[in-house]
Amino acid sequence: MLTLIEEERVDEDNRIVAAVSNYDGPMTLFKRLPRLRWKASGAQEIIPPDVQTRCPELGADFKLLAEELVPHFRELDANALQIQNDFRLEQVLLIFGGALATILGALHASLGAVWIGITESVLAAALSAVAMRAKTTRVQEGYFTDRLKAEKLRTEYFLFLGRVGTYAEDAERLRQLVRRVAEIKGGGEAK
Amino acid sequence: MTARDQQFFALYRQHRVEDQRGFYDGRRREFRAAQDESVWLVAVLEEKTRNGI
Repeated sequence: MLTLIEEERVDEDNRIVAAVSNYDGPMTLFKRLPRLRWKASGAQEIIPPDVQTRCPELGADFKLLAEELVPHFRELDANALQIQNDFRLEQVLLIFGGALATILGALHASLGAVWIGITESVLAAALSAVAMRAKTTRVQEGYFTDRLKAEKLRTEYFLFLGRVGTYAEDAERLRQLVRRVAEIKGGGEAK
Repeated sequence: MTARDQQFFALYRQHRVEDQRGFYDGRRREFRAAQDESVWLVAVLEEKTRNGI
């Protein structure tokens, strides 16, 4: 199925100047299906290294941030993506497993084959286990927490670069950064 | 405005403001497309079910 995306482009006064359609590949609906085995992609960058080299005045700050903040950001970002994948996998299993169990139930009722009934029972038991696990592990909550922490670290990154607020004083800014990173990572401010 | 300030503001606009805008614009387009597809999918399935597949 083709997907046409219509978008209106507006100028500074919010007047529509063009309506564009972009082809976004087949079946956007299934674009974000989870992976059975999670494989982390490359290390996430807040500012790509080639952009950093174009800003020599900020070089010292980039170096400090790379040592004190970026490793924690990458860890939280990777965790959030992995937990998000786990959550989606659970949901997809419950949706498609539930549909399959219903189909098996209908076949069992109409054909009366014993093996279909047994398969349906096993599937229903497995789905109950998945649902129970989803309820106890609170995967979605874990994803939200780590994503929020990662995005708060991204905010601190730019506040530090801009010497905003507590980062305005040269003597104190590094100490403040270390304190804030520990605070955010520890969950004091993330929830 | 110092050279440092200029570099920071350019960086902030491109890698904070535009980056966030691009992310949410992309998601909005994607969700709209997915919504359209789901409407089509439901219509096709309903039609098939009505006609006995």
